Amino acid sequence: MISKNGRNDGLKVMTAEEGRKLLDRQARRYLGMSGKEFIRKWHAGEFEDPDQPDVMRVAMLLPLGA
Amino acid sequence: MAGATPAEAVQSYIDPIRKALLCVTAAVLHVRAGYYSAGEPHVLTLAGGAPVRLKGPSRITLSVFQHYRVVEAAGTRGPWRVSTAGYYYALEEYGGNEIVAYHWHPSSGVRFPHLHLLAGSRIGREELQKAHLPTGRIAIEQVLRFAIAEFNTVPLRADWSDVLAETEASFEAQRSWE
Repeated sequence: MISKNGRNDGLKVMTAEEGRKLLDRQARRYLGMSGKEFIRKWHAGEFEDPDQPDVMRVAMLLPLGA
Repeated sequence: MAGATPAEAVQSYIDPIRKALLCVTAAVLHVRAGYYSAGEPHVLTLAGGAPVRLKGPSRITLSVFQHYRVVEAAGTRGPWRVSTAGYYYALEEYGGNEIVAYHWHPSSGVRFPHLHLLAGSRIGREELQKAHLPTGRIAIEQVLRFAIAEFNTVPLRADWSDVLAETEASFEAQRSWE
């Protein structure tokens, strides 16, 4: 059973807004850019090495930016 | 992992992962509204993608990201099941460099499952610092067992070995990789 705060025994179900904020926070922390800028650069193919761990760590959160 | 509904399939996918992770950390798993079928993969992370400190003398942290999809399936695997669509598991030094990272992100970059030996591993040879060492697909239990056995991570429960064996066997029996 999911509670009102989205927690369920060690599980947090994020809202769409919480997901976007998480992507933004991680992009700023690891790459020094906003989530929106990361999404733009990713889809434009502007990362020279997309498999570089700091880039991929943020890229794993891309579905949260939708 | 199968279920009568998308939500049930997701729950049966997440529960063993949560149970396995509880062997080494009480950190919360984050998912975003992943209880439905969609074209884009859903995201599961430990602690919102933040490195989580593990107990033990090696002073390491754990990062976990997974992508999964909810799909319709026939037979005993249906009518709904969850398929793993990618992962990123890393062990890092406290507050710093990644040591090892297991990646599988088939939709971008290097598409086969691979291992990175990063700055925290203190590997000197340049080729290896940048290498994508091919691996099979890695289950989260394998990473947790690796952290306990090789990095002296202190498990949070005495029966961790049995728990990891149980959750891994459950995953192996029903696993579905894209």
